[in-house]
Amino acid sequence: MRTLPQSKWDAADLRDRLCRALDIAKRAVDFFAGEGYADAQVPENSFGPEKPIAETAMLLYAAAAVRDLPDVSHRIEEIAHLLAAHARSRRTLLNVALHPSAALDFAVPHVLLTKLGYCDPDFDNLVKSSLGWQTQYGHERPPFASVEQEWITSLWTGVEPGRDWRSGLLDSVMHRPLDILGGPRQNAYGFTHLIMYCTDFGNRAGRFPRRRSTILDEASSLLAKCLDEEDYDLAGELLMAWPLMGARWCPSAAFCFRVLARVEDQVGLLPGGTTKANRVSTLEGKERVRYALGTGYHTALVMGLLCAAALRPGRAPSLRIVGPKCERSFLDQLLGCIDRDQGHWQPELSELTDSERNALAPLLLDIAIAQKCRKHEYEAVSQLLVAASQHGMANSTLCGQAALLLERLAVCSQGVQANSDATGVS
Amino acid sequence: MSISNQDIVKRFVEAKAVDFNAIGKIVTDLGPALSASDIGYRVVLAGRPFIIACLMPAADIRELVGELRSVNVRAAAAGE
Repeated sequence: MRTLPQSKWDAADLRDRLCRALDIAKRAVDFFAGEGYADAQVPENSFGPEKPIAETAMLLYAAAAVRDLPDVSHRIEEIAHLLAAHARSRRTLLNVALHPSAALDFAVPHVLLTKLGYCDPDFDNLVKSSLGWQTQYGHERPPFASVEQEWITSLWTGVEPGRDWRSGLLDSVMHRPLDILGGPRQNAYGFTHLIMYCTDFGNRAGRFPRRRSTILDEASSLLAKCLDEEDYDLAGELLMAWPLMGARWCPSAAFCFRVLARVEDQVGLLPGGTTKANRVSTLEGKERVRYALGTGYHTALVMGLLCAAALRPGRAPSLRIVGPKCERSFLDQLLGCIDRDQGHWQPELSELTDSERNALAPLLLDIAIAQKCRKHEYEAVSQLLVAASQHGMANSTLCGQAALLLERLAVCSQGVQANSDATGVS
Repeated sequence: MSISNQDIVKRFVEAKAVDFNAIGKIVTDLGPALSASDIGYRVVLAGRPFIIACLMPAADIRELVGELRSVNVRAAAAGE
């Protein structure tokens, strides 16, 4: 009997990746849950203890969905006990009392541990008694962070989110088109986090203020930009959209997962841009460990969150990259104009079959547009859009946003010219 | 009613041609001053940068991962 080739990513491999992320999380808690991490050379890398504590709690919460898997359950158990002491420390209580407008943020690890069955009624009462004060809402938050507050409150109280949840979503990038080419990175994080909260990390179907296909189109275009920029932190979070929303992995997302998995295999963990090879190589002893862990643990946890979501039944990435075919001449044109100067996706692409590469034409088009916009080569963007339109391929979010960018620049160029004529300055 | 991406591109393609090379040069010349990538919100709490939203990266700065593949960061983090 002929055996059909496997169509989904191997669950055992996903589980191993999740377990590695859990191990890294445990080590990050060991090292940083007390005092945080201070990087004298690159102060931007520094963080307080609250960050790894909250992130680890979120990883445990996501991993709990697949706690029946071998090796996952005991890791969750071990880390949860380790984390509880930090999540419910005197420092946390003092922070809640001193910063009432951030009280819920400090309570996130406690709430998530409680949801997982690791309860502490005394601490719960103490924190609750610190809420409800006049200044609890005295902090300006972007809409996604307000939704985050509603999500954690809902988990804590067991009451479904109310009107504030809905109005927060309607003000957010979940309802309005995300500015992929010109917006700050925080917008993209708002986008990815809202998907996590709307679906409660995959625990519910989630209701979104726009069509799911529109949201996934945006995620797909943003993925292309992330691949070009080697931004695997954001790429990992974006990829969660498919398993968390229960959507079928599109060819672009399946390919991107493959790239991230390969990079993780090569580096030992999914790397972010903050870890520098020369510092890892030159530092020694405990300083080396602290640097590698402090700059590397975050993206490792993102990969763990992604794999936990992908381990849910029917949510694994596709192994096969299959999609609608485009004309060969258009694909050749795309491959001919793509810059080869950066991006770990390029060797991965070269290993694909012609048919698989063809199915990735929409991704390659978005990457080419992202590259040309990054380099301000707008004439090349214009030519790409013309060619894509001729081949009926100009339907991605990035195509639309690039066309709008060029329209704005065209208007702007008239103003620039008028300004130059008036001032005599070119 | 919102317009589709395909129609946005079609409208652009049908519009009058513009010298995008020239405008690209102006943007490149002004480059760093026009960048919005570093716009962010960050508050300082208890003497350390504290990102209100969980799972935010430690730094807002974006840097390429580059050639990290020759270094096993997980082994380094494990003290191996």
